[in-house]
Amino acid sequence: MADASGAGRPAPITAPLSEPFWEGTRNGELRLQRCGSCSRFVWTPQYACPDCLSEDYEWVACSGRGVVYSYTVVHRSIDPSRFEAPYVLAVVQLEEGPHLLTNIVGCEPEAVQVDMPVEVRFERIDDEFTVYPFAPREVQE
Amino acid sequence: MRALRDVAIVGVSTTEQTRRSEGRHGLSYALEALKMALDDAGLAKRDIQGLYPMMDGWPLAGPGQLGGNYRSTNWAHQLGIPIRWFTGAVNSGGGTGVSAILDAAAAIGAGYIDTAAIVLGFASSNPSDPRTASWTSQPFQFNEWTGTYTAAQFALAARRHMHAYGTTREQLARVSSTIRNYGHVNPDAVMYGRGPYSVQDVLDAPMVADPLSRLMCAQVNDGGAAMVITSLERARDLKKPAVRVLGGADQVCYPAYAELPLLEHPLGGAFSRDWVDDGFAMSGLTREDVDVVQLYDGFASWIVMQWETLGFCEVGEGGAFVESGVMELGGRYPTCTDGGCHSFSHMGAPALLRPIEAVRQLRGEVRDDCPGSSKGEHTYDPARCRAARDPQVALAVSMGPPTGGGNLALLARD
Repeated sequence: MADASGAGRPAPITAPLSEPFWEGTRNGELRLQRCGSCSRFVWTPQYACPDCLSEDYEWVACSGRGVVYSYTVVHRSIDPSRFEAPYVLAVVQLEEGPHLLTNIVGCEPEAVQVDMPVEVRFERIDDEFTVYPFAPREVQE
Repeated sequence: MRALRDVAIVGVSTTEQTRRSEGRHGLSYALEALKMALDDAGLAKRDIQGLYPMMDGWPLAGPGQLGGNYRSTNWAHQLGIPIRWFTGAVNSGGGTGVSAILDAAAAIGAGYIDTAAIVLGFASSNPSDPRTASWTSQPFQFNEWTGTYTAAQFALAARRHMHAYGTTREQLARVSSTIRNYGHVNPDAVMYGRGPYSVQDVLDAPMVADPLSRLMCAQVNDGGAAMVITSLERARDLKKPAVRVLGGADQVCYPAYAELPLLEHPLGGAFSRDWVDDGFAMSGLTREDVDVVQLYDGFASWIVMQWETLGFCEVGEGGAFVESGVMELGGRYPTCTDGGCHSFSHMGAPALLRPIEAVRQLRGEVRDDCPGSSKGEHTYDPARCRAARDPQVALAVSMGPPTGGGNLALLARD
């Protein structure tokens, strides 16, 4: 579940379309839109499926697991009062298919590798918002 | 409809480019640049029928001024002329560069208008702020909490490219040293005389976002630029040699910065690159015909990827391609010959600076440290020269970040 380590991160400015997503993170779920017509998982939230253009979708909790598609160790912080350098920005490809932008936490920056297995580790910003960095995960052989 | 007409660039300008303007508004730079480009062409403001503006905000806010920078009525009012054809930042142009040239060429070629101006002015940079261009770090709800910003977004694509294809930091550094050394001998460059830079200098510079060092990143500047485009028929009566717009192409796939920098389409599969071949085909040219190249050099890694996208080398071979010295003076494709965004200027949305430099190369109007530079006489010694040797065809590209979009224009001496 979410801990309080997200305090200090900027809270997102949301739109009605994405409210179910933020409700999910608040409740410990990483939700994606799944198209009701072609079953494709969609990220970021869209009004209609970019593949089949169906407006019929449902929000479903995804596995929260994926692998690092790419990463960068950021040495020049965008805002040192909020983000202490070095920190790791990453693109994670989820098991369900979509890529998302996130941070890698829970390990030294030097330990991060492309293709490294990771899982979501929620961080609570405040009562309203919980964000979704990822951390290394053990893979069962 | 009238038959299609040929189109030419007849006026170009860049104002002073600077690290930090003092007390000027972007509109001030835009107006100065517009007047300079009209003077370069020998035309007056009343000749302009189409307008493509890009600025960092309109000086008046309030009712009726909504989205001021992009409202045709505001511009028509300020310029005191009727405007018939108007587009704000177009298509993949981000900064109204190559995309605007293609749109103007289409409108002029089809006969809707005779003359168009592209005009840019920026005066809000803050070099101490790592967010560089403010529009790349708007509060996108899925990004802002991660601490991302422009250089970091490009670094993500760079790291993936290194992983997938074995691209090295040395190859990235070669790009930046080459481009910065052009700027070192360009008296108009913000970074004039600040080099020369070795590959090792670039590698040793402080890291911004791994693998990108500070010297692999563009600057952040203020300034203005403009271009005037008209029919080839009219261009031949004007004072400067016409530079023909032979053709080009443009595409977008998804929003930069709000979405991820990926090397494949979010729906799966490679990004389509047929737009590149289409752009060459409609111009009646091949890559072999190109003499000088201007690419968007916001970050070294993006140059490597653009060569691949543009089909000058295979995907994955961009690193070896740049390492061969192809971009240098005397190389097969001298590239970013004004010093690019690394060294000449990255004012706001700088996309128009690439085709402007292409025009200057084709006209033989290249200012550098050669003793006869003002008379068009060049030594072709890279230590003081940045002029391509008698170029006939230039490729100008102003594509933004790695999101599958891109554009190109092929320009040629008449």
